[in-house]
Amino acid sequence: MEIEKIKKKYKDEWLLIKINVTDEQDQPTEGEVLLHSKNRDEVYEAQKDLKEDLYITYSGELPKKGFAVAFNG
Amino acid sequence: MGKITFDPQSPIIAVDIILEGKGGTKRRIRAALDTGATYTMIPWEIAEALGYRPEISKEKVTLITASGVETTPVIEVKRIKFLDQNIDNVQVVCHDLPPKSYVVGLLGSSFLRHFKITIDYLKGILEISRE
Repeated sequence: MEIEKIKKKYKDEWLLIKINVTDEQDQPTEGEVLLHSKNRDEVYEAQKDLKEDLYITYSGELPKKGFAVAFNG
Repeated sequence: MGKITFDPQSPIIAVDIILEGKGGTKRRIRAALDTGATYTMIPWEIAEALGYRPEISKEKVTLITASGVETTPVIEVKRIKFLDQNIDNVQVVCHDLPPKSYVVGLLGSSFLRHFKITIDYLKGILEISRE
């Protein structure tokens, strides 16, 4: 399934996707959902022992109002 | 040259990066492009899945965050790729961002300093190249 369709189908969830197809910039375009969850830790746990090419992402939109980000690293 | 479009109204520039482990295992994660971050940052569990052992890393850094001061391990990731550009042996901090960050890592200066990065906020275009 196309990655954009996966993100719409499982909106506002954390996703673990096995990548099947990438574009010319090696960005994932098609894949297979291995897990979708509201809990990010479940996705982290599920990918631990897998050797496949996996994509971990969040399918929700970032809020544009009332939300600010400050990272330190 | 790699190029993506982004929403200039978004609170962060979120990008997909590829991390490559010692045995060739790959993880693609959503990261915030952060030119102010010294290090690239990835979750501890992703580092372990790639075959690294952060807990025995001898190199550590002190992170100053909103919630306090923490000491976290630094590992050397075999390869990081963003669009069509990659760097080998990148120093990376292992640390979990809060779930509400909407991204799982940071693409920081330990990767970005090798490139020319152009961010056009007016058009919402980000470009990365070697020159």
